[in-house]
Amino acid sequence: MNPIQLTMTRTFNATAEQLWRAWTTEDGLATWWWHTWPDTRYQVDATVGGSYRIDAADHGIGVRGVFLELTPPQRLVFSWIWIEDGAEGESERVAVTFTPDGDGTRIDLLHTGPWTSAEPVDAYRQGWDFVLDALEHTTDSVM
Amino acid sequence: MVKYDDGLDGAATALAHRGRRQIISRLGAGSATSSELAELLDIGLPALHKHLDLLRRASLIESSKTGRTVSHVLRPAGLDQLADWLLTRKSFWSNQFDALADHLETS
Repeated sequence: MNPIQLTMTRTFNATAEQLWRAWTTEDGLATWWWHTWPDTRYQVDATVGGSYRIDAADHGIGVRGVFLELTPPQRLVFSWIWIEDGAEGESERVAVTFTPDGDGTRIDLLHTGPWTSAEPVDAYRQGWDFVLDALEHTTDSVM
Repeated sequence: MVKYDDGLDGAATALAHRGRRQIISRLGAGSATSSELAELLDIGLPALHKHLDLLRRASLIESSKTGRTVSHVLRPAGLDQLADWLLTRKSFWSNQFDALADHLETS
């Protein structure tokens, strides 16, 4: 675990199967992903090693990648390459899990950067908290 | 989204180590000498220097010598890049989750 990673959790009023469809099918994605941009194109091949591509060409942005893990309807992992005005970013990684939570389903999302570390990494606070704390102290000492 | 470059990779790798995060946290409260940092981490100076080199190469700290004392300060700009990486993705996924909650068809 690299401490510089983003995690996000939210519970939705839906079943894991419904959420799985929303994340892994073209029709499913089109209902929510960039729904304010109806000209967005969705191409999804939801198989391990299969690719996806979401293009909002009119707005100069898109994202593409490859499915690394698919365990319906529990876990989904894919690479993530952001495209802006034709320029591609580095390949990052997104892992999404769907867990029953009361009457709904909790999504846990983990977005990690392309860096790797040769050092053994121990458990620590989330990178987000760490970086914000450090910045806060810096601001205090500068004022 | 933030543009990725080598500076970000260096910073993230530098921070993937508990001792180096301790150094960054300590320097966030003001400058420190090599001896102070070695004592904080409870390691010898040679080991500390390895960590300081890495942090300098990642442009996270700056070091200066006064007489025989070397002291180190934080370069906030290095952390700004990482914070930006996290902030843009947090804001992106937060918006996506809002859209999912509002538009998921559950029929």
